[in-house]
Amino acid sequence: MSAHVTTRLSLLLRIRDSANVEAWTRFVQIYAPVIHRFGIRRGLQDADAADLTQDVLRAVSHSIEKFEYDPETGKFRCWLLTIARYTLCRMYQLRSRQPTASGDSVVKEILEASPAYDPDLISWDNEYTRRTFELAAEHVRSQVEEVTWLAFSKTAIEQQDPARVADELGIKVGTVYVSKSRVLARLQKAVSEIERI
Amino acid sequence: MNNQQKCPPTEHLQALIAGTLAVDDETTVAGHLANCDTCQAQIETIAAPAGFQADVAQWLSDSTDHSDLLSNIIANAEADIRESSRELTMGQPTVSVTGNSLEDSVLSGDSRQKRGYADVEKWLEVDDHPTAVGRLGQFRLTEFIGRGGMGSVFKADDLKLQREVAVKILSPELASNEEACERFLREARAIAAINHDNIVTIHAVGEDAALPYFVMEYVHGHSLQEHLDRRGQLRDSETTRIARHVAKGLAAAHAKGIIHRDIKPANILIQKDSKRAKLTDFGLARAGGDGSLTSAGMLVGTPAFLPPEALEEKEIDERSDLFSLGVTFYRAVSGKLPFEGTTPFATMQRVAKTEFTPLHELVPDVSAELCDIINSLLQRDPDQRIESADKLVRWLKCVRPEAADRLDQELPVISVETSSQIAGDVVAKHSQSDARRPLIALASLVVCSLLVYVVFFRDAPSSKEQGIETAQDASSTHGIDSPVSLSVPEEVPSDSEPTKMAATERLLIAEINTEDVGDRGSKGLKVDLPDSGVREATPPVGTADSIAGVSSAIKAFPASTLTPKPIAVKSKPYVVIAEDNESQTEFDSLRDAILAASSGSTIEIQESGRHTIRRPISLHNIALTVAAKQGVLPTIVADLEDSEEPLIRTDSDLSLRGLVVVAEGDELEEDVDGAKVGALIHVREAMLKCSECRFTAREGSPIAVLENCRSATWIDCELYSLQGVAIHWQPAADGYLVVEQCVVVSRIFVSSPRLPHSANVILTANAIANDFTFENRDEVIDQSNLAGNKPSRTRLTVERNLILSNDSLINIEVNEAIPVGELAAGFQWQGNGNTLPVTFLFQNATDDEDNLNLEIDSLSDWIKLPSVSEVGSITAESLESLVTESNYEVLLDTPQAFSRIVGTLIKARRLPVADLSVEQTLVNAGPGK
Repeated sequence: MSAHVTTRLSLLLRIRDSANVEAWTRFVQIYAPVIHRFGIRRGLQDADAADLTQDVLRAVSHSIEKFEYDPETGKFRCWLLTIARYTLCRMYQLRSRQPTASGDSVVKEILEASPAYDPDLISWDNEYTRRTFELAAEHVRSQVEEVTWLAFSKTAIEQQDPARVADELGIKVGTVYVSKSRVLARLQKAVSEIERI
Repeated sequence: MNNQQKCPPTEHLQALIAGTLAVDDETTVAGHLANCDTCQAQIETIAAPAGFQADVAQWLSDSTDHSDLLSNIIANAEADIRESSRELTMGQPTVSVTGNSLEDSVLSGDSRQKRGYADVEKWLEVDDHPTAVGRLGQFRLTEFIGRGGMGSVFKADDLKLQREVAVKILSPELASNEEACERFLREARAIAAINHDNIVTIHAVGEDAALPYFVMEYVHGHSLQEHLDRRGQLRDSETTRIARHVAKGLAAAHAKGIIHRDIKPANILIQKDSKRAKLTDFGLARAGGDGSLTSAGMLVGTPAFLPPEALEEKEIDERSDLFSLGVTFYRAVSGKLPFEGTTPFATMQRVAKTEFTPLHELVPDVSAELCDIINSLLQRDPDQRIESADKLVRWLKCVRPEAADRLDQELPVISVETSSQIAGDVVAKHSQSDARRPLIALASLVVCSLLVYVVFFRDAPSSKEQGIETAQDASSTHGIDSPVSLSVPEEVPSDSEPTKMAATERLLIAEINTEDVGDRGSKGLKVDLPDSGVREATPPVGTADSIAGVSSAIKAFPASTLTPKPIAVKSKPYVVIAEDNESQTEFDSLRDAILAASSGSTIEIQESGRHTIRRPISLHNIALTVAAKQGVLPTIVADLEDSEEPLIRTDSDLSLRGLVVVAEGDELEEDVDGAKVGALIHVREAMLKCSECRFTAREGSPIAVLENCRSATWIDCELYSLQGVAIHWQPAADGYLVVEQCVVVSRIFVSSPRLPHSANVILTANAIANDFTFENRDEVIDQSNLAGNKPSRTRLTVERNLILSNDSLINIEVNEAIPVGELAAGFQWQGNGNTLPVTFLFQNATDDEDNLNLEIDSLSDWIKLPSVSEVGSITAESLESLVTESNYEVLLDTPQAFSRIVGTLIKARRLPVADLSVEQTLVNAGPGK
């Protein structure tokens, strides 16, 4: 799975039509936790990270129409990261009341940061990928029997021995394999669907 | 492992995953899978591409359960998004997140200042003087004041000129940026281009030091922001005063095509001594046409003060400044920002919606006029706002805060509650003519009309429908219905017998005497009404916040005292009475009656109510009197739509008596030659006489244009002409304009007499709520004539007037370069017993750069002019000191103060001229007396 999943144009186009609450909701579902984790990673407390998330989403809701999608030079998540970092800087400044750099230079730094060398961007993309998997997993889990899910997660995620898992869950070993494969297939489909939106 | 069973075909594995395999087969294949490594691997490959399982393991393995937190975030965010999507659906703007404006907003004034001037420090020269923080050329910087738009501001000593100045130095980080430099110097040039008391003066621009800088006037005092930080909010009167100053400054800037773009309390400085407000930090200003200096998408300004159009990246113009001004005033009056969010984005979101808590909900006793002005400034659509800073200045002049002023609390007060319907009658016409700003029109006229009504409260409602409801009901709502207080100083002698006021039959307040009603020794008033006998003043009703002492309300005037006696509706209510009084002819249309009348006859209107005239009337060689029959109060409505013709145009003498004349219709396009179109009356080379009439012109139009008139007399009239001119008089030789016992809510405008004629203007015992303008226009001033020895003579007699204009009462405008002394020699002034300092302004309209040749704003200055022969008692030192201090504002800006003076005026009308003692009253009305 590539760490650089290009945000699909379709979602962007759809959230540009901001009346499309559904698309927004989808967007929030995908990105809110990404931003939140970004905040946590940058040392925020949970509640602060939640604040950050809301500020960023608000900013996006106001700005999405200004964002010109250009597959060559800009990526949506890169832009989103810019907003997130900006908002984070502002939060630090507001809280500490001791701005570390002049506003102009902060903005400049943020805007000129080159995505190619940006360690933040890599973790940011990773968080995005993690989130797509999480969402997909939530989706699939809700669609299958719990025992099927458990058979899958214990073998595929926790890497436990299928025979032991079968024993534990009181099912046949073959069922564990079937469950794992079925969930994997659905998961894969779900992930690619999420990426497509 | 057990390989006894044959591996199932790939299709079976695929079907197994999809769940489409037959149940029997499924059991078989599953059983096989348990033991077959090959098939285990294969089914996984079929289920998902190679590596996917590794991804799954990676991304889902350490996924902690954030579900609670996330569901919260998501729920909140979704709610947010839904809200914003609603907004966006309604065509609300979006905001770009680029640009440093957000940064600006994040850093409050405080943190900016704390950032200090470290960046500038190393660029400064060293100065060893103990008070110095550095040196820049001839300027010794003594104190870091703060950061403005683009640089640091220092207090400094100008070592060459030995004066205190403020020096603004461009930030080093911007100095290398050519565009920034230019913008910075642009600020300097922008301010320098405006020379105005309410704008911080710029002395010099310097490019000779390491960093570009400019030198400004140092304003001793604080910024409005600091005032607000300390005090939370201001009283209406203070806000109004500051607003007026700022609006004037802004008008001057706008006149030069400069838009400030960052108006906020921090950029308004208030001089400590003069209390003058000055606008500063034009850092974001740019001259109207030049859009090159802000890159697209960059938001400049401070979010909470930004107009919606800035967020929408639409055209910014002068009206954008007015919006920011509205936010500033709102903040000053209420202590709160109208649009405030926890983040700049949230703030901007609110701005974009332009919804705010109505001011009067936050400040219940806010002056209704101020409230409406602020509302009008905060309109989302620029077209809906007050259209210019100039107009704003005029609107602000009408504001009389209703909140009780402490000054008045010790004084006995009687409050006479007027029915809103009367004022409403006058006002309604205006609001119709200005549908865009009904509240404003309403408010400002109400201020003026409501107040003056107390003085000359003699008119019955102008139509039959308008019975008077109990004022108790009417006054319960906010704004126009608020009661007007009429306070009378204790010095009012307690007459043993009620004193009749000299007035017409319709005089409402017929008798006033004083008697003790309070238990604190204060005095109350008792009002005798013509029909209903004596009404006791009711006990005090004031709250702690309202006027203390005896606040007696006379609840309601019974309708019978105001409504004209019913008159049987006549089919032909217009009677033409011939000059010899011998023949009477009845007509069913006023127009027909007027057109049918012979010269010298009188048209008597015998029916109250509305009499609409839809086409202009032109009279030639017919002298006419139009009068109401005794006991009848007709309202003549001029409904001429867009016609610029006057209602009545005549070249013969005209006399009007007992009429209410109201113009309907929108404001007309202004005549290039001054607002002379759409008048109610136009008289040419004849005489006009009006008594006991009330005129309301349409906005921007005069009530009367008197062309080459020998004599025009207005007695006991009310003249309302919003934004216009009440009387536009161009006198004939030795002509007389007499305005006596009138309420003038407008201007009187007198064109210079044609040389060598002289003119006489006599204003006596009026309440004038605007300026009186005397104008010399170039077409009538002939320099060769002036060069001769006989300049024109104009005698101005202004006596015993209650003047409410805070600006100059008399403007003398000259379109030719005439030396002031010479011009002044053409005037003879006599002022006496006016209740306000009468101020004068000489203006020379031809001199572009510096059109104020001489400003005279006190009577003592006026004395210096050669031709002033007499100055009345108003120059008494007591008054002089009273009005030059800040008390002046307070004194005028409260209805109590106003009504106190009005009370005096009422009294004055009952007394011989000689007994009038205005100074005493004013002094006694002052604080602590």
